[in-house]
Amino acid sequence: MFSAETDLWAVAAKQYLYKLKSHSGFALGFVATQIIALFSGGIGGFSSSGSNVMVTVTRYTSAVPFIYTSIWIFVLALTLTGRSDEKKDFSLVANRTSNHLANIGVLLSAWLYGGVGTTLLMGLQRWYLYFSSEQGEVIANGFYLTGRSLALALAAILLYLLLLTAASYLIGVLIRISYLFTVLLPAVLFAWARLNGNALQRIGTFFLREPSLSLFALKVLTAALVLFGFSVLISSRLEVNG
Amino acid sequence: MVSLILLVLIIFLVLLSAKAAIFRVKLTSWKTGAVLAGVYLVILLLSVLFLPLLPSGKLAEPAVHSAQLTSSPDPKVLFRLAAEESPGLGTKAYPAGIYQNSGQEFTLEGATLHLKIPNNGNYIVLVEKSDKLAGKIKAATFVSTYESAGIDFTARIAPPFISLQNNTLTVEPGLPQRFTFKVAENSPFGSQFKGGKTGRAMEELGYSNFSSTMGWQAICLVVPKDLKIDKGNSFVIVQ
Repeated sequence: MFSAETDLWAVAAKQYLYKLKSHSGFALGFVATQIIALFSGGIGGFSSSGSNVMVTVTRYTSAVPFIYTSIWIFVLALTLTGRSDEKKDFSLVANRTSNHLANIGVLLSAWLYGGVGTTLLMGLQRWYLYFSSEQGEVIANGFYLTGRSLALALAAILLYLLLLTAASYLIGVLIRISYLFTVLLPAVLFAWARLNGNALQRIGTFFLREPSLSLFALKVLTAALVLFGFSVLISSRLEVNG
Repeated sequence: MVSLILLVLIIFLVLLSAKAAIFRVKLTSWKTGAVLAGVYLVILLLSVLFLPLLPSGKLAEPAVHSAQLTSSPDPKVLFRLAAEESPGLGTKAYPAGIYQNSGQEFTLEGATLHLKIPNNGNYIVLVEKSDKLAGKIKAATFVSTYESAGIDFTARIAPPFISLQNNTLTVEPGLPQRFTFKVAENSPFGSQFKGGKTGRAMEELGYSNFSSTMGWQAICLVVPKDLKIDKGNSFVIVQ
C-alpha cells in the first residue's frame, strides 16, 4: 500500500510537470490580461458639477485585475478538466486520482502566481498613474504602499482567489461529467436565488463579512478543501459508468 | 462601453491561450513562457520596491484645514471682508475656507452705473456703498470651499470676467473648468478585516463615498456712496 501511495504521488508529480509545461501558454495569457487590466483605467468614481465646474474622481484598485485573474483561472480550470486535455493524459501511465492531483497542482501553481501577480500589480499601476497624470491629479493618500497593507492585500487576494479556483475546478468537473451542467448550474443558481435568496446571501456574508483574517483563512481553506474533495469524489463516482 | 470591449478582449486572449494549449499550438516553448512569466513577476516586484522613490511633489495632498465649509451664502461675511480689508487687488485666502480669486479696480466715467450681469444663478452679487471711494469701483470675486475626495481646489476656481465700459459693468462667466482626480486604492478585499488598512483610501481618511463640496461664488462690488445704480435685469443685493 505504501508503495502504491508513493507511485501515486510520483505519477501525479510527473503528470503535474507535464501539464505545467503544456499549459505554459496560460502564463503569457495572464501577463497579457494583467497588462490590459493596467491600461483599462479606473473604475467607479464619481462626477460632480456645479455652475461651470465639473469634478471627476476615478478609483484605481486591484479589483479589475482580480476579476481578470479570476476569469483566467476559470478558463484554466475548464481547460484542465476538458475532454481534449484528458486525451493528452493517455500518453502517460496515470489514473484518475493522479490526474486530479496534477490538475489541482497546476491550478494551485496558477493560483499562487496569479494571486502574487495581481497583488504586485498595485505597484506597476501606481507607476503608470504617476507618469500618465498631470501635476496634482493623483491623490497622495493611499498612493505609497506599506509592507503591512501589501501583506494584508496579498493574503486577502490569495484567499478569495483560492475559493474561486476551487469553485472553478468543481464547475469544470461537473461540465466534464455532462455538458448539461453548463445550463443546469446557472439555472439552479438562478432558481435558488429566486426561491431562497437569503440562503445565498448568507453564504456570501459567511465569507465577505468575516472581520478576522485568521478565521476567514480557516473558512476559505476548509471550503476549498471541500470543493476540491467533492470534485474528486463525484468525478470518481460518476465517471465510472461514463 | 470601453470596459466591455476590454473584457471581451481579455476573454478572447485567455481563450486563445487555452486553445493554443488544447491544440498543442505552441506560441512559445514552455521554457520561454516560464522565463517571460518570471521576468514579469520580477518587474512587478521592482515596481513595488522602488515605488517610494517617486517624488510626492506631483501628488495632490489632501486638505489639512478643518474649515467650517460654508455651504450656504453668507453675505455678512463678504460685506465684512469688503468693508474691513478687501477687496484688494489679486487673490487672497481667508479663514472659513473663503478665497478671493480676483480683485480689480475700475475708474467711473459718470454718475450712474449700469449693471449687466447674467441671471444664471452662478454668482451672488453684492454691492456695498462706501464713502471712502470717489470715482472708482472695486470689484472682487470670492469662492467658498470646493473640495472633492479630500482635495481642496478652491484656489483653482477661475473667476468670472468683469469689465467696465461706458459706465456699464459687465460680468461674463469664467471658462468652464473640469478637474480630474485619481485615487490609487489598495486592495478592496482587505478592508473587511479588523484593522485592515488596505481598504479604500478615502474611507481610511474618513471620506465616505467620496463626498464632494461644491462651494458658491460671489461678486463683491464696492462703489461710491452717491453712485446711482441701474440694476437692469441683474439680481443684486445692495447693502
